[in-house]
Amino acid sequence: MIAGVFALIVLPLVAAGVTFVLRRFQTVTALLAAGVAGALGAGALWLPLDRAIQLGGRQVAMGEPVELLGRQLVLNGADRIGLAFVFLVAGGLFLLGWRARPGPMFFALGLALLSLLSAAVVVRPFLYASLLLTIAAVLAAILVQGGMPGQTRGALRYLVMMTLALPAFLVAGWLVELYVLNPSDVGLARNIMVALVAGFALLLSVVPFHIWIGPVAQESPPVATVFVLTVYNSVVWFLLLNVLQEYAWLSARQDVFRILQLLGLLTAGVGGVLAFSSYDFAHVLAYGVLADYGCALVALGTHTPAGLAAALLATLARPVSLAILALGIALARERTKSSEFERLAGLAWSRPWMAVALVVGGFSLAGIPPLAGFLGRWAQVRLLATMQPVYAITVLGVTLGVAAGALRGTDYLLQAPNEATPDSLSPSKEREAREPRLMIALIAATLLVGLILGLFPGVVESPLRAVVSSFTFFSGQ
Amino acid sequence: MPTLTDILVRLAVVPTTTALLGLAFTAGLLIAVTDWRASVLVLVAQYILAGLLLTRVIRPEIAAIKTLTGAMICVVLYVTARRVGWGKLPLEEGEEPPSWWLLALMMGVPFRILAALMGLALAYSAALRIPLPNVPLEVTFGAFTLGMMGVFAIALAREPLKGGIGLLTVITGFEMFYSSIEQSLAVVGFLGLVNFMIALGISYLTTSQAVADEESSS
Repeated sequence: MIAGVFALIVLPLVAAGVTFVLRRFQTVTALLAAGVAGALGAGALWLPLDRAIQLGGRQVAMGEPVELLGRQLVLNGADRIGLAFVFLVAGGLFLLGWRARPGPMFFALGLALLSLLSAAVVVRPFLYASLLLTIAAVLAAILVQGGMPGQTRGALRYLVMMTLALPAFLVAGWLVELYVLNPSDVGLARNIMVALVAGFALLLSVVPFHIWIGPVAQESPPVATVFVLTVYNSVVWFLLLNVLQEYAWLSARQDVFRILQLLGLLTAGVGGVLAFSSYDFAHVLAYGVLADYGCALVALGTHTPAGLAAALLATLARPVSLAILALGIALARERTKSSEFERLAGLAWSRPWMAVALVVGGFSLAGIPPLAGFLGRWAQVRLLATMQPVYAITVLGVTLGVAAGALRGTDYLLQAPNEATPDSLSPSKEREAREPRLMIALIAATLLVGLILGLFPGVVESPLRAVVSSFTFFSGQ
Repeated sequence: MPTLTDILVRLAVVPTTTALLGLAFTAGLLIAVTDWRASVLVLVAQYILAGLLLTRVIRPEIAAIKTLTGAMICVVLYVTARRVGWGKLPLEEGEEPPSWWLLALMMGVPFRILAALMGLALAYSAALRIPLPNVPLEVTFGAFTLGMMGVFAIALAREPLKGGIGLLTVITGFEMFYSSIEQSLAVVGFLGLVNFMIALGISYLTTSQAVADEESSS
């Protein structure tokens, strides 16, 4: 019998080895990586946890706990949906990476990352998860570097920030062991909270630990950037929720949520202002996602199931918005070697799909209806309007900030072609340099997914309900 | 032939103050010097001194494992730095190198020395005011010194190798404290793996940076 947990860890690792060997064959590796990630995601989502089933002549038991080097690997209901989401997002990004030039080792590193992140989600206690996350961060740093000579600033900053979270988690793990022996020690509980909040603040790139996002978005292949901003970040979110669920005494403390909310507010505000002052679509992506991270933390900080649902909706919609924007940036860089507004002036007329991806991606990230990003933003604003109206106004302001950044970019894109910059080609050459058909198909497919999510949010209701109901750390309310 | 553990046990007779001063000196040097050979050599010395201090709080065998991991990391960094030829002055053929004091000024050495001294003062002050639990004062001082100097080295780094050495220094400082409270072999092994992976990551970034520098200079 194969334990499902083991399959989720080992299969991506094996596939990573195969894709590394075949890395020169882009189509084969992209389809293989997307296939493996998609199949594992579907398996994690649909295979039953409570019984073994027959799969390809072998028995597979998804919920079977495994002991490895004395550590327990367990897949519970919420983790299973979380991992399914992570695998499906990764599968989608592998497919986009087929034509979006994500770097020579994107597929192999991405699969290896999936293996490590799966292990981080299912391993108990969380001390080992932090060690696995740090190892994953090293691979992610190489992934975002993308084999581009000289572009190391963002990758190094990312590596530093993610590694600095490790001491905080290890200390928290030790303090938790002490707290079990002295549950009445208030000082100990406070120190655990400080250590955990510091660790998660670093991993979730809360201001001022966001300094890697801008350079990474600027330097790295867009799809690789989105991989780290969504896949790695989602796993950190699930770990945060697992920690809150596992330590009831911690989630019963209102100050944890208050601190998370204030950090979220700061992050959202800074993200909104920076996105507003952007002059580059890569910056819109970087600071738009920072604002989105912040808004999700503000929603979680309400300490209610609706807050958790709003935060998770944002996490769910984020990959779609980012993927659309990333495809636009990839096309823009292919054409002008840049995603700066000025360099793209007037290109909407000759490169309509690039322009659509940049504009729709930017607005979706901002949370403008009826796009995918609206899903999370609307839930957040509705909740905060009834509980904390000032915060709701801030979130709306942040939405406007990101939208204004994207709007300014749109203005440049829509300039008349004759006003265009020195980068512009002659009309005949511009016609020859048409957008690749496969990229158009990928953009169209991603736009369709975004529209479906934005217009019919009911499609994600069932898994979302399942995740929210499996976290009970609000019961003290 | 003596094992690494034997050597560490024999070296443990080195007075704690001497080891501490050595650690502070090497950590300061990591900030002050920009030459890659010196940086990697200083890092080796730092790992040995940290191992020596660790013998005060953990079993010599585990301290030896940590020192050995550090030495392996230094080999990785040495090979990388040597391959990319960092530290070479960008001189034209036949051009005379500038005098050493002018070179020091150009490299910002006085500022770096000041930063290192400030880091030491901060670490000393922090060690006295916030003593770490479960470890003697000298280990607290060592941990704070390495942590502080590592952060300063990261902040002052212009290239991945120096930034990475700073990051490894921070982790070494943390391990000086953490090793005394968590001695499980699984955690020790994992931490060693984390350190080694960070070194490989730095190595990759360093090579990537150097390729671009070579292209721009040619």
